[in-house]
Amino acid sequence: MSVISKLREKPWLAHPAGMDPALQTTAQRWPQRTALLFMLAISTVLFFLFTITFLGRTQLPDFQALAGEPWQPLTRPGLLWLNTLWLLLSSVAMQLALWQSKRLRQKVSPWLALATLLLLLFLAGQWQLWQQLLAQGYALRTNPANSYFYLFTAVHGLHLLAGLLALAKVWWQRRAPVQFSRSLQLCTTYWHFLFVVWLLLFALLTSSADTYNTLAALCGF
Amino acid sequence: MSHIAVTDQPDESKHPHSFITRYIWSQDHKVIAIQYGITAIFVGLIALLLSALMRLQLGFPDTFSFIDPSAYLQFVTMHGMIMVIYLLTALLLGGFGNYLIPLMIGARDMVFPYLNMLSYWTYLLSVIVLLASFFVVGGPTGAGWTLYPPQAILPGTPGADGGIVLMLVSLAIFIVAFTMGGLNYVTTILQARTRGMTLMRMPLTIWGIFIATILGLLAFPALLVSAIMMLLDKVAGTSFFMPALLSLGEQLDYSGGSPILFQHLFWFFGHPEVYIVALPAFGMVSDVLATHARKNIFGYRMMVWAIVAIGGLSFVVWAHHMYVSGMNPYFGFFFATTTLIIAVPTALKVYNWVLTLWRGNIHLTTPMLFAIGFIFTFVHGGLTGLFLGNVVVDLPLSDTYFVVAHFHMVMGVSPIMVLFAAIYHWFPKVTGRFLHEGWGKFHFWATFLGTYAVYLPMHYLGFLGVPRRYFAMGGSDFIPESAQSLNAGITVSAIIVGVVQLIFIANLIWSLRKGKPAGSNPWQATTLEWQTEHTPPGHGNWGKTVPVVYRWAYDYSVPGVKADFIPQNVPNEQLQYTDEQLYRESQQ
Repeated sequence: MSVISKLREKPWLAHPAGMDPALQTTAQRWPQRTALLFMLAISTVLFFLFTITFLGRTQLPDFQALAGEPWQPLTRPGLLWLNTLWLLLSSVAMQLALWQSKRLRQKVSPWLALATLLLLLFLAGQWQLWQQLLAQGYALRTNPANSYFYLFTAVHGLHLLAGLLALAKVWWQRRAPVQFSRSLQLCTTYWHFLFVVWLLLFALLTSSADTYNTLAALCGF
Repeated sequence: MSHIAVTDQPDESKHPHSFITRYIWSQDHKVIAIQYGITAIFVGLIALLLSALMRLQLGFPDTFSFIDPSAYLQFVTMHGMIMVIYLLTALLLGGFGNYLIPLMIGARDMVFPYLNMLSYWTYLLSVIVLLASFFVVGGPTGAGWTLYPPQAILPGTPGADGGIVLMLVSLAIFIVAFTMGGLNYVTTILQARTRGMTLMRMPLTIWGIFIATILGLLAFPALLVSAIMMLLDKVAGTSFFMPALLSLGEQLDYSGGSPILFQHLFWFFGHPEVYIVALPAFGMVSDVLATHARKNIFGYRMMVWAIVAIGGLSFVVWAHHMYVSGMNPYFGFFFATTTLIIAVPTALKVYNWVLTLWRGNIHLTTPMLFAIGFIFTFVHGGLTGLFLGNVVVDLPLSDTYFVVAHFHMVMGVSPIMVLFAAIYHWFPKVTGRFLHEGWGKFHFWATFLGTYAVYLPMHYLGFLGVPRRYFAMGGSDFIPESAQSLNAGITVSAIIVGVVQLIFIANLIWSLRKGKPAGSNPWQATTLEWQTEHTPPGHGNWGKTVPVVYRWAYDYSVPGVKADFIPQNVPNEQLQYTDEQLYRESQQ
């Protein structure tokens, strides 16, 4: 039943005895999944709002994009591509772990260990990039573009760390295979979500000033 | 292996036994609700005290030496922030949401009880951080509850050192707490309803809480984003919001940030916040009105649709708080239009409340008095909102006492009226005893008339152009002397209203032990929370079996049925019909 038809129900009308459709069905319940969907919505809003303020901020005169011209640090972001690869592989490893667990095989843990390792590689890579930027004089406060770069990567990194915590908790409960597989499915969704968010952030943070101007114009700034 | 949580499993072995697991580290939604409620009322009383101090200065300037301009601004700021977030949001959703959701939808508890417990303790932490700002050097922030940069974090504003940092940190912690609680509320409503409880059979209380929680989950991130960015501006010296500026003759390190950006973010949270407070109140007042008028709610479907529509529209009206900040005239036109559109579903709800009363069997109990009082104060505050929603009318009235009167009527007094109605209505379920009826009625009349005595004159002050947030009027030609006597009158009324609330608190404490025993369903209500095996309900709410729902929440005075109410868990086969009805059926 769609939402619209649910909202059009006339609850004051009596159903004939035993005919009440609501009494017949016991829908499959999966509260963790509902909660995850809301969490993804909240995270989306969070990143969306940061992005909107970022686009607004790009239009103010003191903003200097981090990419575009040859001398800017993120014009050829080799390290970022490498990090992206780690995160992609981490997502893939999670997916493989999920397939393994769905077939009730016991080879889940190695894949999860691999996914965790790749995720940590990504975070270490981001940390290294921070150090490089700092060494080149791109400190947090010297330009709003830098501030946003650190802010975005930090918020995204914290999301990943929270994911690792959740994964640890799920792994702890791996003795119940069906439950384990379902929980793992939610973790995998979260991993993929954060990978997509990262791709968008990557594109956003390494764009040139012209791209920002176009995007900002589209948003009405 | 299924994922059905505690909601469907009567697991007797898990009942907590020690005092600590029962009342302190409790995962029972009812205990958590009471913890939320007591904490919220406690900070609310502090905010009430702050407003009394503010009023003393305004009514009798130059009389109280301990209120200097800085202290006055700090009182204003903390009063506003505490009332809106730490009292209203926490009490309506953390308190009533927690208590009523599982009981009204026929669940044994929230789906994530541990997270629920964590939510309360995180909320308590945010309150402690907030109150700590009273004790740091420089005191709490005095930036106004909207915390506009650049002044909020610059020297010259009271509490610009420690106060503002603690305020922002406390807000961030509160948002974490709310998100944990909110995820629980929406998931419980979507996943843990008992058999037969379709979405459209839910009481309007649950609809209001449900949509308000979704608004909160999607709007609080905006406050979080602005709090994080302002904190970085303050602590790390970034320039997200801070423009290049001189302060005390010195060029600061900030450059090029946009204070208007903060205002947009703040109000993108701030306007839905109005409805985060209003929607649960709308829901609860609907149920109180229907129960005490012994009549089904008029236009149930319209009421649900209106709640959903208001929820959606509340995200596209935020910039009507910023008409004087400067914006593209087309934006002003857009936001004025959406603001007027949101008045349509809101007015529809008011009509439906009035039509619910029409030819109802109205019992003027204390909760009913507060509910009817709410209709008055809400219509009053809503109508002044139409004035302020129009750009040209708003410009001269902005930042005057007219605005203060408007938002206090619409989101101060009105939700508080509903909260009182709800406390008088549900107290018998929470404790098993009535609140004292005589004191309750006195409380109602003093509060209702008193708040009018406070806020009605403020409209006139606003027309005169008396600006809000000012410590003293100074010598302004356009403000007549008589404005001061009006201010003195307001102060006296405000203090009387404040003292009357202490009588209410005393009533709460006294009735806990000495109140008249209420039984399980004193108001003869239909909704599930009144059909529990024990009053107050035990852990797990329902004893051995969870109730099954056969009808909607508003079967009051059904023609042909003996009792004037049919609880939601009573099937048609168990109904007792009137002789007249039985005779009519035998003739057919």
